[in-house]
Amino acid sequence: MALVREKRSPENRANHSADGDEAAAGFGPPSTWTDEALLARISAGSEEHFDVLYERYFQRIYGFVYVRVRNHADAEELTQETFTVVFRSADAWAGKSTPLAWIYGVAKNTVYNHLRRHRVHDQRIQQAGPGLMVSDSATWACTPEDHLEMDRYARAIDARLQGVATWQAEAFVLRHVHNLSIREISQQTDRSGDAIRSGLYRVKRLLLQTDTQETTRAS
Amino acid sequence: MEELQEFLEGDLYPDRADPNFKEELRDELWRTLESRRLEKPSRDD
Repeated sequence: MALVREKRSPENRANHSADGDEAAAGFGPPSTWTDEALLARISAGSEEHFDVLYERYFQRIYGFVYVRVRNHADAEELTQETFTVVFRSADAWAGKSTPLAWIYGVAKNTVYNHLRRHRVHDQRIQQAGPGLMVSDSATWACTPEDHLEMDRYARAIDARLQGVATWQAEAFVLRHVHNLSIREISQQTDRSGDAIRSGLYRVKRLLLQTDTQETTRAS
Repeated sequence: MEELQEFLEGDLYPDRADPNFKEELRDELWRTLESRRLEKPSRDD
């Protein structure tokens, strides 16, 4: 934190370019480097500088997001989205603002887009009413006993999915129950294909971990 | 400005991420960065 305050002092801002040049030239440990210098080195492929920037911003982003969504599953997802956007578009940043302001802007937009999607989603649910939960899929055209079995299965899946973000659980169901493509899920959830794939991987890993635990317990 | 200040003070928040998530995200981001960097055409070409 002391490093952050040092960077914000007037003297430091006045010497920003000089310090940045010195830092970029390799003087001093990477933890003292400016964000601009770190981004430049990351673009050149330096994992050490990537780690410094990641550590510098991780809790800032996570804390900022968590305060607004109040659950860790969504906070994780939004933190991942924010960092993905930051590192994917770092080349296009081009010094239009300070990295701090830019990364803060990405985090803010990510959170606000998420909150807006949830508001729209909740409104749709309320407008649709109880009929929304009835599926016309052939999978559900079966006997009452089958319905009971599937209901038990769905509840078991639902319990396991409590630890993931709402949209990730929704994407999993859309993919593996309704057989939608990644592109279709992306359009429906307004998420990128990469985010969908990452979310599906996370859910699968969670389910596999749970299965492994139950198998071990049973044996 | 208050929000930006709040963002800067994120280190002070008591709510911490799962360390496993933090580490896995770090690894995933670095892998993505590296693969994208290696896919870029060389400036010398």
